[in-house]
Amino acid sequence: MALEAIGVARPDSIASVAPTRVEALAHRAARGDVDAFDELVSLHAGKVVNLAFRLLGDATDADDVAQEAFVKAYRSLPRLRDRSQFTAWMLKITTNACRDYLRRRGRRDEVGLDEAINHAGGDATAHVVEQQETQARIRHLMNTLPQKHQIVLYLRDIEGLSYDEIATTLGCTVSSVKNRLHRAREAFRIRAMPYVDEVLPWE
Amino acid sequence: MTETMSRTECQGFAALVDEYMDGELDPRLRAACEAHVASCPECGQWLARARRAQELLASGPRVEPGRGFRLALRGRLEVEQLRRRRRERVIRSAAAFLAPATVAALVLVQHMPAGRDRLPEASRVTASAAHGPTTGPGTPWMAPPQTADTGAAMVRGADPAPVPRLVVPSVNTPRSRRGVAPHIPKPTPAAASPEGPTTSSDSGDGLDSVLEAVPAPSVHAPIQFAADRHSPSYVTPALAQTAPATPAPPLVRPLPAPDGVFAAGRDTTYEV
Repeated sequence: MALEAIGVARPDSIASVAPTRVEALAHRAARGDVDAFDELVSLHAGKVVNLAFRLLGDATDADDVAQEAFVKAYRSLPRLRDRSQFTAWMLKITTNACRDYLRRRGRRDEVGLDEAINHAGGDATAHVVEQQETQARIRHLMNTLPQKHQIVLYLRDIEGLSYDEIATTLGCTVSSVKNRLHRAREAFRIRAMPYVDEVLPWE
Repeated sequence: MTETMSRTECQGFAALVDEYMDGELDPRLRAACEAHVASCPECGQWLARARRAQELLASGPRVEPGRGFRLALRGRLEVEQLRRRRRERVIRSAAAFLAPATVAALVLVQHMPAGRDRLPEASRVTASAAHGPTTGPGTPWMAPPQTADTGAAMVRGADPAPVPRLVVPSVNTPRSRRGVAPHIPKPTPAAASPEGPTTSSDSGDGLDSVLEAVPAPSVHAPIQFAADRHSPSYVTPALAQTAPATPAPPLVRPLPAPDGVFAAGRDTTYEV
């Protein structure tokens, strides 16, 4: 599969992958089949890299951490009992890998918020600066949320999946998705409202 | 009353707002929400802010995996696969070695005779591990390293399941004296055990060499590995070559225990 085709298209990707196919590939990969795992990578690379980018804010870092996450997944796959949950499991590994990465950087994330906002000045236009500042803040907010909230927000509000698709991805019921999403959004809103009013003033 | 109703409605709306924003509500509830938002300015304002927060979250560029992402990852995965295979090979060969050893150890523990002669758990385990898989019916974990003057080593197959009696030799007895054998009443079915904890060791693979190396006094014990094993005067081939026609004085004798009693086997105890 061409590199350009690696799941970078918006939303459809997870839903378009039949769970049984992911499961079958995961079974093969768990036995050490690199080709099968490579196929799983091709199906998930876009989501994993974008999730990492959302949490880290840097495309190069996101690539590195995504690779790390895939290697960890390959190593731990034999211990994954329910192979049909590979996608959700992979996203969890990614958020953990991002968290570890931020910890290794010595919590530069929190400093990075101000750094990113100040750095955004550069030679960019005022609009771009504003956008970069906003992204840095949102990233910071996302990082303060619990992992399961991050994942459900990412799947719904960034990847744009339907509730059914999220339920399939996370291996839970639709009502559970509703509950999780409600709690995640509440937590996000509480943190984001000051920025919302500041960054997006009322018309 | 109207205010109370409104608050209840607001709470209901707050519970449904996410599904409402995501278009996941059925038409009836959706219509109810729309009606409430239209009639409640606070909820309308709150909904607008919630939508902005959501837009904020969704905004931002998407990235693609960098060039060479999959190629580099593939390389790392193949290295990982090699490591895994190597690990599996090591585990497999370790299992191939350990499984029979474990089975043998378990068999030994199963066949260990009960009674006061048992060694403490720790020493038994150590001993059985040190001796490795032994298939004899005796009690190999109780046998010390085979020495040339171990009289019990000369007994073979005397009793399929002997329960040896442990006799501790006198600590004051010089070792050289143990090889001297004055007149000793002729014991029958099994040999005495002069080395204390040494008991019937009828399962050691190195027994033949011991038997050949040590002349066995005919008065001491019947040697039971040849055709005429019940003959009390039977001696090993090695002994037959070197020994004179007349029976040689036994080099090994069971030493009396401090209480004056020594044991030759399960049923044989002699007063000295």
